[in-house]
Amino acid sequence: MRSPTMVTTPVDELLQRLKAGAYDPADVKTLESATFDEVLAELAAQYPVRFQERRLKNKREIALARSVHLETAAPAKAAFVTFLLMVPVYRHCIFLSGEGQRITGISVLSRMRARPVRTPFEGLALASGRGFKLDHTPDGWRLKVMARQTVKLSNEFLLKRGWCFDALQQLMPRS
Amino acid sequence: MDDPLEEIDFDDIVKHGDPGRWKFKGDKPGSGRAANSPDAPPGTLKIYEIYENELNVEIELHYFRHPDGTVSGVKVVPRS
Repeated sequence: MRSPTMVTTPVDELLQRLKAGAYDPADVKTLESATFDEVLAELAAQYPVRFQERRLKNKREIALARSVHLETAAPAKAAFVTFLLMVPVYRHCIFLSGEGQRITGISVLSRMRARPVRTPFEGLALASGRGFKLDHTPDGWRLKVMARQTVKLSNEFLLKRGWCFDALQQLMPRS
Repeated sequence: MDDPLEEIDFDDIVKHGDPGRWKFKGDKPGSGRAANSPDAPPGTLKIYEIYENELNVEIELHYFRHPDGTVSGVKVVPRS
């Protein structure tokens, strides 16, 4: 929780507007004048959970969350034993994309839940909440609605795309 | 030649699924025109492709194709 006396930055203000589904021309200036590393450094302070990161030639992308918690999922059916499945839920997610140091997109999602699946492949079902994206397309910046959605992605694909399977280690009790 | 599907942003993967399982539906009218962006090397083309994502929803993929076969600015755009 930010103190009312803390100074808000242009990135803070951009994110506040984006969460409400809006943006200001000044937000585009902010994204075009800042480097990827500068914005990442600022975001990382408030969104410390890094759950996806990838570099492909000049392309960079990273997904951050403010927190990760465990929630119970529908119990698995078993003949003799009933048990609860605990799944991670990433809250207040930010996705930052860029080419070199140039930012090409930033999005906010309320939450994302990752539940393991075995069919049609071993992987994760990612159930994401609603959000918004400020995206630099070949025809300029545009605001995009990100609807609530669930997709299944294989572990192999997730590994290739930089999913951080070890992001949950911070939930483990320290010895 | 770069594959633009390899460069889809992860937040769009989370909404549209694995691009390897999308169905290509063809080029959108206007695809293949010269890019006018001052940052684009001469000979760069603006490409607009139509796909059906894993959820059977049509989407568009917009990107730059450079003369050396590389791509940049790959973005998923709602169908229009």
